[in-house]
This record gives sequence, C-alpha cells and structure tokens, in this order.
Amino acid sequence: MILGLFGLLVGLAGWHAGTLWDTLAHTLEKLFGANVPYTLRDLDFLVSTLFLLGMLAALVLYSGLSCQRIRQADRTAQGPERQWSIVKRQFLKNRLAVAGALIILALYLVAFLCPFLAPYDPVEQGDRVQERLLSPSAEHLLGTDRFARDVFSRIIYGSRISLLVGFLAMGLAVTLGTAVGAVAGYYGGWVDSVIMRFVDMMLSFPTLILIITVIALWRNQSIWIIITLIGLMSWMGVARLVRGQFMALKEREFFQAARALGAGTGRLIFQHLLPNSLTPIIVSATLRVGNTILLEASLSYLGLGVQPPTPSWGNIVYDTKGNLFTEWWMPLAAGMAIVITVVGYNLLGDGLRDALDPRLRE
Amino acid sequence: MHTYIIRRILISIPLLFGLLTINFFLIHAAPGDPTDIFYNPDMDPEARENIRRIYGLDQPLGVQYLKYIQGVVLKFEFGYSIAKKRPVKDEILEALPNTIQLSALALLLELSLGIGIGILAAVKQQSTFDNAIRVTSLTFYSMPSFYLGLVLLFLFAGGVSATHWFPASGMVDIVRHESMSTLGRLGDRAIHIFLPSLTLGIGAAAGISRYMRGELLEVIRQDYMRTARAKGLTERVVVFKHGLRNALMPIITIMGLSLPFLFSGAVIVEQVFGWPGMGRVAVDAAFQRDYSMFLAVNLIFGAMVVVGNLVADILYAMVDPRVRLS
Repeated sequence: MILGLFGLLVGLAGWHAGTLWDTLAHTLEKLFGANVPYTLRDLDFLVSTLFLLGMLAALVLYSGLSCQRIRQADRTAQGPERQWSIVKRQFLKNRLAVAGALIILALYLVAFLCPFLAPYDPVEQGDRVQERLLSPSAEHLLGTDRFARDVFSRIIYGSRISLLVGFLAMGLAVTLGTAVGAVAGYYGGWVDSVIMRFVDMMLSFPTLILIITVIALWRNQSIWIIITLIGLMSWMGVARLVRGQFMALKEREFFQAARALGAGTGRLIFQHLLPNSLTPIIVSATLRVGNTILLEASLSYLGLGVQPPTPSWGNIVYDTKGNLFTEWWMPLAAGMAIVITVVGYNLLGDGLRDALDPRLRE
Repeated sequence: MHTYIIRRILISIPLLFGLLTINFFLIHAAPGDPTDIFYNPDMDPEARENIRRIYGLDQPLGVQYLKYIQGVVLKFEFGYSIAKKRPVKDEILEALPNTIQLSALALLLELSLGIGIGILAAVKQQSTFDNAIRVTSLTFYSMPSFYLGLVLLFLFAGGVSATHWFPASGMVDIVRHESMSTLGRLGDRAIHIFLPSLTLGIGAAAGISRYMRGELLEVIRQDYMRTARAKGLTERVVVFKHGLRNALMPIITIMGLSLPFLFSGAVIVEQVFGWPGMGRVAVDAAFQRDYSMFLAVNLIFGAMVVVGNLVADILYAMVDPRVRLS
C-alpha cells in the first residue's frame, strides 16, 4: 500500500512538473529540434484532453467495478467493517471536511483543465495602449492588467504554480522529515539527542528571512530553487511528529514481538513502524501544503518568487498592488484564490484528523 | 530554577556565535560581491580592486571573519552598509524600535483576541456561534498576511472614499507630526500603527484561538473539572480558575515558538504598509545585495528567536510546577 501511495505521489509530481510550460518547451525542443510544429497551447490542450478522457475512462471502470462488487456482496456474507471504510464514513459525516475536499478537487480540476477554462492566453499581451487596465466586463471577466493581459486567465493558470509548489515542497518536506524522524525515533539514544538538537536549531531560523537571503544572494529565482528552499525549511515539524510516533510504537507488543522474531531494521521500520505512523503524517502533510502555498505567495509578493510572465497568484498581487485603490479587483481576486485554496487544504486536513482520531468516534 | 536560567543563557551565547559564523560564511559563499553595485562595464579593473581594498574585501576570508567578530563583540560595530552609505548600526538602531513596537502591539492583540475567542468557542461548543467562529478563524488563519493588509488598506485607508479613516503608510504624518501637541502626536502614532498591528495580530490570533479551543475542550472533559462543579463553584470560576490555568500552558510554548513567525510576518506587513522597520531593511538589503546589512539582519532575527524561545521556556517552567528542571 505504501508503494501504491508513493507511486501516486510520484505520478502527481511528474504531472505537475510536466505541465510547466518551460518543461514542455524543453521537451519539444529535444524531440523536434529547432522546428517545432506545435505551439505550447496545442500541447497544453493535448494534455488536458488526455486527462479528461482518462477521467471518463476511470469513472466508467469504477462504476463497472462497483456493480461487480455489489453483485458479489449479495452472494457472500458481510465481513467485519474495514478500517478505511470507518474512516471514510466518519469523514463524510463532517460537512466542513467534505467541503474542503470538494474545494481541493475543484482546484485540481481547474488546474488540469486550464486550457478549456481560460478564455485567453495568460501571457499574451493585448494592445498596450487601448486595452490596459480595463474594468471587468463580459469579454474580460476580471479586466486586464497593465500589460493588457487577461487577469482571469492568469489567475486560472496561476493555480498550476501554486499547486506545483505546494505539492512538491510538501513532498520534499514530508520525505525529509519522515526520514530524519524515523532515524531519530528508531535508534534513540545519542543519535536521537543529536538529531533533535539539530531540529531545534533549524526551527529557530526565521524562515522567510533565510529564504529571502538565499534567493537574493544566489540571484536564482527558478521555481525549483523556490520549491527546494521551502521544502528545506518545512520538514522539522514532520520529523518531530514521526520521532514521537516511532518512540511510542516501539513500546508496543507487536513491535517487540517482531523484533524478538528476528526481523531486521528495514523490515521493522517499513513493515511495522511506518504504516502505523502514517495517519498523523498524512494529516500533517495536508496542513503543510497550505503553509507552503502561503509561503510561496509571500515570496512572490516581495518580488522574489516565480518571475513574470509566468502567472502565479502571489505574482499577480505583486504586479497589481500598485493599483490597489483604483483597480482593486485584481489583487483582491488573486488573493482570494489563495485564501480559498488554503482554506480548502486546512478544512481537509482538519477533517482527516478528526476522522482518523479514534477517540472522537461514536 | 535560577541555575536553569543561567544555564540556558550560557548555552545561547555559543548558539548566537554559531549563527553569526554560519551567516558570515553563507554570505561570502554566494556569487558576486558587495561592490557589484558599483560595477560599470567601462570601469577600470584597478578601480574595482581599489574599491574592494577600501572596504577590506581583498583580505583572506579568515582575516575578514576575525575582524568582523572583533568588531561585533568588542565595539558592537556591524560594519558599513554600502548601499545606504551609513554604518549598519545606525540603520538598525533606527529600524529596530519600530519593528518592536509593531510586534509588541500585535502580540498583545493576538493574545487577547486569540485567547478570548478560543475560550468563548470552547464554552459554547457545538452551537452556531462556535461553528461560525471556527470557520471565520480558519479563513483568517488561511490568509496570507499581505492579503489581509491589502483588504484592510482598501476598505479603511483609501479604496472606498467614504471610509478613508486611516493613513495608508508610514509611522507618522511626515508633514504635520512635529507641529502637533503631545496628545495629537500620540493620536497620530495610534492611527498609523493600528492597521498594521491589526493585520499582524489577526492572523496569529486565529491560529491561537483554534489551539486554545482545542486545549480548553480537552481540559473541560477532565475529572477535576467535574469535581469543581460538584463542589458547587460557579461555572465562571470553574472555567477561569481551574480550566484556563491548565489550558494556558501549551499556549505559552506556542507563543514562544511563534515569535519567529511574528518577526517573519512583520516583513510582509511592513512592506504592505510602508512601515520603516527591520523587515523593510531586510528586503532592501536583499534587493540591493547589501552584504553587511544581511549579516546584521540575520543576526538580529536569529537572536530574537533565541531570546523568544528562552523566554517561552522560562515562562513555561514558572507556570507549570510539574516541570522538573534538573
């Protein structure tokens, strides 16, 4: 099951990275040399259409499988209720949690189906004299910015950057944090002390200041640097969490039995300790995505994030904050997108935590 | 207890020292040079070397490091800001009190709002009030600080002409401040500091209120609360005297650990409101590649964090008699 989850995460990460326009451009260049027969928008449409078809196929498959399962259930007796269905039921009872999940689902759909939803190209500049800073209208739902780009399309495409940064930075932070926490928790003793001192030291670094320093010093604002930096500053909480979990689980009988039977370190960690620590990690990971999105937005607001013309929500606020009093809908709408996304992730995380907590069950 | 405090303070000193060293080598490991702002393609390479020699940048790194440490420890000198053409110390002494004012007020706001709302929500659990508070505080918790600042700016400082109640930036009214009476000056400062500290405070307050509500709920379920009620004490005494004391303890740790976030958050808020504090100094240093400024800013922020953690630990030890300090 861990392998399946891992595969899913890698797949999502791969998709995220692949749909970045520079990656697409790069791939195209490698495949076709100098004379590329397609534009980036064509490729974008291709990927989104593939996704749509894939989703439809998955829906059909799933309904088919469900029918099969219902037919089988009629024949065999009902076994004891499985753990995940208990959790699922508890989760669905919580309306706020479901709302959070729906928000995130909608966000991912928007990100996947960008080319279908955005009426204009987000980086294409219109007539800079006649079409700049237009008010919202039927043609431009949120008006145009000072380079005559359609703000609504930019916000829709901005979701990709936020999702990418949020997801990959969280992935890095959780992987790193789990590894460090696992080592500290499993070995204990002086290894644990040293590692925890290091974690405490890292926690006492002011995150934003450090990231600003590094980005400004190395003058590199590529999205991968930003993801790495944010991930490197966010793993400490997960490490503490995992360490605590491992230390508690080490006292349990099933672990001591496994160890007494001669299980090796790897088997003990991956087969016994890690699967049982998964639930707080998942909750922490979900809540962490919200924080990384906020951090990325703050960096972009200072001008140190992803560079224009690539649209990112923080980017849009940075470009348009000068016009706050006159064309207020632009920064406020982009910021609202951030708020809705982070609220969704927080609701989801809270809901997961409540659903997975056995003490809150009826 | 006293030994604990002294021991912690003694440990903090090498920690700060280590911070300084790491920052120094980090900054000098980066590509480029503080003299890059003087760079001009037509420049004579000798002129560039001259500039570097003036600022002492041509000496071996170890020597530079030792000189820097000497300056900081003995004379409290942090070097010279090349971009701003002033000693770094002056720049910081001007900016630091402003940030401290802002952060202190925000802290006050966040504690009073956060704890108060948390208590209310816990006491009225499962009611519509509780749910409304939860959703609202979650929304504020999920807002980037610049967004809240921009919204407040728009609503109360100029976007809507009818509610132009607060100034949009700065600490004092540059033109009229000197000529105001003492009371007028106080009022001027107050309306300038109100929106920024509100922005800083509300986000943090939302976080604290979530945590407070959870903690108080846990405490209320405990047996000793039931005993207190059975003894016939009023609900208010039960909640405030018995429940609150126990629920407050993790809040203190949270507060201490969130001090770095308070200062980091101040960076953004100071940008939004044009507040002349450390955050703005830091961002300026970032964009102007002002290396000596960087060092000093990182050191100050790091020191504040260390001090904040120390204070949090000491407070926690004072409040909770169960903590054994060996």
